[in-house]
Amino acid sequence: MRKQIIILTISCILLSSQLYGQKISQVTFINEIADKEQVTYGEGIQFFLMVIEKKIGSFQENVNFLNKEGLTKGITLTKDSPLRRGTLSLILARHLKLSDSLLYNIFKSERYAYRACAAKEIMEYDGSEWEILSGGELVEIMTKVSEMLGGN
Amino acid sequence: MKILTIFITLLTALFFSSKALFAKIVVESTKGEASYKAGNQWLPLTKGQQLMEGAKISTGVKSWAVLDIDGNNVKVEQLTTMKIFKNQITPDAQNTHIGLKHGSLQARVSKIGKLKTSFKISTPVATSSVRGTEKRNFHGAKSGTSIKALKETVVGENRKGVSNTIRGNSVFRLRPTDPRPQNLLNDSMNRSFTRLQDPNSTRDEKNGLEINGVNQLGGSSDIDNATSSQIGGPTKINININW
Repeated sequence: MRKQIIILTISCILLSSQLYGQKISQVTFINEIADKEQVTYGEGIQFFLMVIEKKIGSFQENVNFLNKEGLTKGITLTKDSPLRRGTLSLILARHLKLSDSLLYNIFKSERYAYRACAAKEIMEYDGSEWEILSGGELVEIMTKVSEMLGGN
Repeated sequence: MKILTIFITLLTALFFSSKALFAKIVVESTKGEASYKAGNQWLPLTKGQQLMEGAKISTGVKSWAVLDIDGNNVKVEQLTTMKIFKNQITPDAQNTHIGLKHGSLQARVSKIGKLKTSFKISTPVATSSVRGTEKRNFHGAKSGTSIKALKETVVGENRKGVSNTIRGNSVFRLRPTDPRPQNLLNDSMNRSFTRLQDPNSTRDEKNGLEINGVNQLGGSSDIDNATSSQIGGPTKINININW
């Protein structure tokens, strides 16, 4: 009888510790990002990979994946570089294949990628492609991208 | 024995009657990563779980949670963080106040007889309140708050208490930098009419266009040409590219 009680107790402890130890990395990451005044390129591409439901690895693995997809062509930023609106716009415009903007189709630059994203209401018109994104804005942009990609 | 039976019956009756007055928040269903905060940790929400006043809930990508708050239904949509500030119920009144930090909430608020219901959702810039209706609230750090009434009417107000009644196709939009909400019919106008304004217009120019309804930068022939292209007739378009 005593043996059974011990086994039952140990099982309960193991089960509850497993439950509480379950990693909710996505929610933790998003809530940490949301409070930041500035986000980095590394955080931006990690968030982007979450939204497009791809496996997240180290910074270099993430960059390699995006390079392979042709999304980061011409972008040579380090993990801790501040993420500018234009850089994210270019990645998003390439991934979403935004083609409504004539000037983006011609120049394929960050400036017009930002305009194309604003026209799709992923970003707001007021501002510049040079501005560094805040965590709150990154969360908002990614929410809209996820909705466009059929989330929710 | 008889006294014991009476005592147990009274105790049971008291328990059930007091339970009816307790505000209840129950997780109806979840999908993906839906979590609540316990201390410094985010733990997974489970179906049937009861939450208390002060509970903080957050969802991940393509995830959601549906909460039953005293018979009112709240869907916490993807990439949302919210907190239940207040949830109290008395025999004649129900008072619920939710804080939306970012993301979207869809709320269906029931009318329960003569029960005075106050169901508010606040964001850092605005508050909406409803009774016996359905609404969707969104808040983003850059674009601010948008509130749409999915059924009947909703009242949206800014932090200074200036309010608008939202119904039908009207949408309440308030940016963090603006003192007052935008025109409630902006969304319908944008869907129904050709946008003639230059996307690079300044805020003042856009506001002028909203008020006057004409393009102040170009001549009237520009508007006629663009409009006729929308109704399918032949038109001559001049494109000037400056860089």
